[in-house]
Amino acid sequence: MNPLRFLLPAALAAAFVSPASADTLQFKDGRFVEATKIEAAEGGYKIIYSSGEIFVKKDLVVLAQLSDSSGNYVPQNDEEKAKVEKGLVPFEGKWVSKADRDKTVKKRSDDAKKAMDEAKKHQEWRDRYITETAHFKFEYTIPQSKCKEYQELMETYFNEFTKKWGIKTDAKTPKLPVCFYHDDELYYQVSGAPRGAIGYFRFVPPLDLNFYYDRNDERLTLDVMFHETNHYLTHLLNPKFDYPAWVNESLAEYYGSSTWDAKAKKMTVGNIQEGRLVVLLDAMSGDEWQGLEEMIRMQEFSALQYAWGWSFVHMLMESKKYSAPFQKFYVALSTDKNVKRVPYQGDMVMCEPDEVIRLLKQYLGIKDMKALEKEWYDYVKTLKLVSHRGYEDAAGWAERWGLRIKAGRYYKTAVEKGTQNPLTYDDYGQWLMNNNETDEAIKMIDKACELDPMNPYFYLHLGAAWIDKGEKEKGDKLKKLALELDPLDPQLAWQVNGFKIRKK
Amino acid sequence: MTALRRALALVPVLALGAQISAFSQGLCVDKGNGFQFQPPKDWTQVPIQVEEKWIATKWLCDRKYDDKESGYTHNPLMRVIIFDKAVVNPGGGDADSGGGEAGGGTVKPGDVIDLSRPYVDYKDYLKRNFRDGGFYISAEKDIKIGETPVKMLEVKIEKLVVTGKKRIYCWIYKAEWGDLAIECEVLEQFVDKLQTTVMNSFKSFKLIARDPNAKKENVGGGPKIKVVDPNETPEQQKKRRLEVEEMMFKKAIADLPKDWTTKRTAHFLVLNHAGTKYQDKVIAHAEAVRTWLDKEFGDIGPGYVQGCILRICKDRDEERAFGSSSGDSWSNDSRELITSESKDGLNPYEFQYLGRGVMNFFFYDKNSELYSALPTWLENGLRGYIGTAVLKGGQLQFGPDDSEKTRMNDGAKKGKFKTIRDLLNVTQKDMFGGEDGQYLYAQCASLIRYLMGPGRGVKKHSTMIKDYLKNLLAVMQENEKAARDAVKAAGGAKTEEEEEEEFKKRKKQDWSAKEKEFNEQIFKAVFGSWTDADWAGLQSNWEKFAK
Repeated sequence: MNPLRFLLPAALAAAFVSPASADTLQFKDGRFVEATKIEAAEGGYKIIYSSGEIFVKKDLVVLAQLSDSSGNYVPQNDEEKAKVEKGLVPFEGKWVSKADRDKTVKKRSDDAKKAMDEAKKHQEWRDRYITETAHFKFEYTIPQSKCKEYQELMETYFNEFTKKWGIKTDAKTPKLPVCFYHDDELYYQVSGAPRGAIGYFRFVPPLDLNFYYDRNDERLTLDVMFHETNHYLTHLLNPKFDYPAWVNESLAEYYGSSTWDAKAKKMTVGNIQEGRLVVLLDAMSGDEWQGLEEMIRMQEFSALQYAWGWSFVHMLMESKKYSAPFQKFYVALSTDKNVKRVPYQGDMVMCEPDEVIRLLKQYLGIKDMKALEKEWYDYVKTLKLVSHRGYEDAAGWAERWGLRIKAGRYYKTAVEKGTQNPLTYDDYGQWLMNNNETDEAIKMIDKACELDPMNPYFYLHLGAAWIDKGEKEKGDKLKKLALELDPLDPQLAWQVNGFKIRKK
Repeated sequence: MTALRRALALVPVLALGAQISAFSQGLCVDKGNGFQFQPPKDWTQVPIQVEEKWIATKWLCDRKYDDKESGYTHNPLMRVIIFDKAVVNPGGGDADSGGGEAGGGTVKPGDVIDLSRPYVDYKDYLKRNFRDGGFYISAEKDIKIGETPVKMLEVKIEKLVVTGKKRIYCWIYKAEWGDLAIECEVLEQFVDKLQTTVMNSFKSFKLIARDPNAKKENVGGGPKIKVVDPNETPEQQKKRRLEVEEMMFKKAIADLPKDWTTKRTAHFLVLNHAGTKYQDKVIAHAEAVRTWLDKEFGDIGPGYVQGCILRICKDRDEERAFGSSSGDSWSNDSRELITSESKDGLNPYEFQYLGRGVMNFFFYDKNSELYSALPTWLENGLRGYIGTAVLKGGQLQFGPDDSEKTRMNDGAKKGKFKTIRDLLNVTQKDMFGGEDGQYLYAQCASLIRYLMGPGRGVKKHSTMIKDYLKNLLAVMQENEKAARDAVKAAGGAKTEEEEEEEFKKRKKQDWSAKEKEFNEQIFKAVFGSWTDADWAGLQSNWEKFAK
């Protein structure tokens, strides 16, 4: 507890109070939206801006603090007139005294404000929630209900993995701090991770695990959690051993694609890492194959090697012939006394690539690495994209390489397969606009707005689509609405107004 | 008790006017930005970068503190950062304007499209600028000092901090025209020791009337697009670069703390805070390299080589503090090399860095297209050759340094070198992708040493580099035309299959795939008439030289 908080309760409280006139919503992903006026509407809330209204579906919202809208009731008939004359007012289907109604409304308003203040407070890292489970100490800024899902999942993962891989832990094993941030911005800020490193496990003291909640793609959040937790679980095999990147990262990627059935509390492993598969498809289209021995000898792994490494481990783990011996090989690397290890950093040890290859051959019962490499290549050729996530990644890849027609097909497939990623709908909408399919584009971008109503770029693109359709006034208004959502983003302003020139 | 608590306890009982008079000597006064404060005793003012738009002043503690956790040392640094509302609100326009004037879709040479994203406030500045570890605001408090609202912050830097855990104290003074933040970064281990010193300076901070005449020029750091006439003549380019040079030099001099000196030499503006002897050594070396470049490579292009700032800090701590700036304090117009005097002998590569820096600017300004197309062997060879040059008796001597000698010896013993013929075709990936990069780098430098040295006495070898550069330019222009034609022809695909075909062709145009082909084209143009015997001659001569 920070001693300053005892000293300064009034000042701190003041900092959390919104302007008197502001209404507030908290989204399930942890974001807050404040606006001068937010109204309850059928199925959700309307946020009123000067350039237009934004509808937010109720199921996106976890908390709402709306200003009191009580007013004098106008009686509709004599009976009602009599009740009004007695000082009664209609309230939620009943006639109650005005004082009782006002008291109830005030209490609700106070409770909502208290809940909102509490939620906002916990988005500051200094006021983060801290909850301990059997094996982890969770420190987090996302809503508690969301974190609870991950707590259950990680405990299940811990138990299943340690059982399957024969990892022994005892009561003395300290609980691992898990720092779970409500968005990428806070994650990068507090964790200190370099841009692009979307999660990490710190394997030297003080140990901790860091990742964030991606509101557009929760599957990615799960991937990262499974991946980084796998590093921790592997670390438990022998904390002083530095696993070679090719097998450590690749096994983490294998587990990264696990799925979780929250109701049955069941984990399924071995799914296809479709983002990685897209990278492989790209490499294969350019006839660029990764040598197996070369990969095993690499010290550092790039995105390309993550993809190749994952596919190799996927083949081994999913093969009846290789699965058990590969797992034994993996454990032996760090625990078998007969394995030759050399000093690494500090008091850590590692295996030289020659020793790793020797051990891999021994456990898999193979003599020729080239034959294993061929088997691997043949296996990779059989892998196919299946889900909307794979097609989303593939569409992005195709667009980057100028494969416009292919990108359109991939976007369409991702939508047909039921993606709930608003960015995909927006990207596809823009693709459709470029393909002169304006009506369909508007439908797609509308869907993006429905899924993430607070992204200003969606309104910018929607405005452009309406202008394309010939409704300039409507389009301009939507663009202005985009700027109201984020008036300080120069890229947005640049796109809304055309570019800005600072004269020489 | 935290430093913030102690400071808060003191504020109500101290009259700020009394503090100011007590610190009347050595006060840091910035009339342009409207503030003054008393920096701690024995802290030294550090210049700010020429393109800096946010930091108004920096003061570095002369004393180093050893972090017991990480083994690093740290000098506390105090800064004042300005968030002028007119700048924070992009272009100074309305909130929804996005800043600047509406362009209307037309641009002309001389226009600048500003793509910078101004910091909204101190917290935003920290979020987007701080890169020395994970941090969070651990405490904050709003108070008033006199009539001025002040926000007091403590920031803890705890995760992935290379130099040990740190803390930042910051007080943000709210003026009518914007925020002024005074901050100081200290090692967590020394918070108790330093907090009184830091807080005393913070408490001396005072807003004063801004003098518009004292406002320093903004030379426009940050991301931007400058529209340049594609048909600009060398004379027009020279005029443009001279204007930029003048502006940069003027601003650099205006920003200098009082105990720095300035000196103009033939090609440099020298800003010095080191000893005169070291300064003279730096100037002599830089001028000698520049003169040599003019003599050897003056004809590679028509570009005017813009004047360069040589900034010589008194030590590495000052150099580091100078480099610690806001994220957008950079510009493509910048020509500045920073070095520092080493009193502990721990930075022996300063002159390598200096020579290579002078070479980079020279090649870039003379002919940027040619420079960007230099093949791996030539670029790295020249870097090694010029980097290790030593000035003796007023003459540059181009002998290998100890490191290169070791690599050459080891490389020869281990058979790590390529034939010269293969070396001239090596790609970046071939060179640095494997385990032999260090040996091949040394081999490239050694080859240049031969060609610029004894090779000049061999007819076939004497003009090899010149011939290579001449043909490089021609091949590059030819390729560019082919690439433009390919772009024009592309995009007509009607089916996925046609699109795939175009994609495969384009992939071949990609630089990484193209580099080998490109090298081969130049190779053919330069060495097309060479026989096996010619190659054997070059190989043999170089091997003898390299022994």
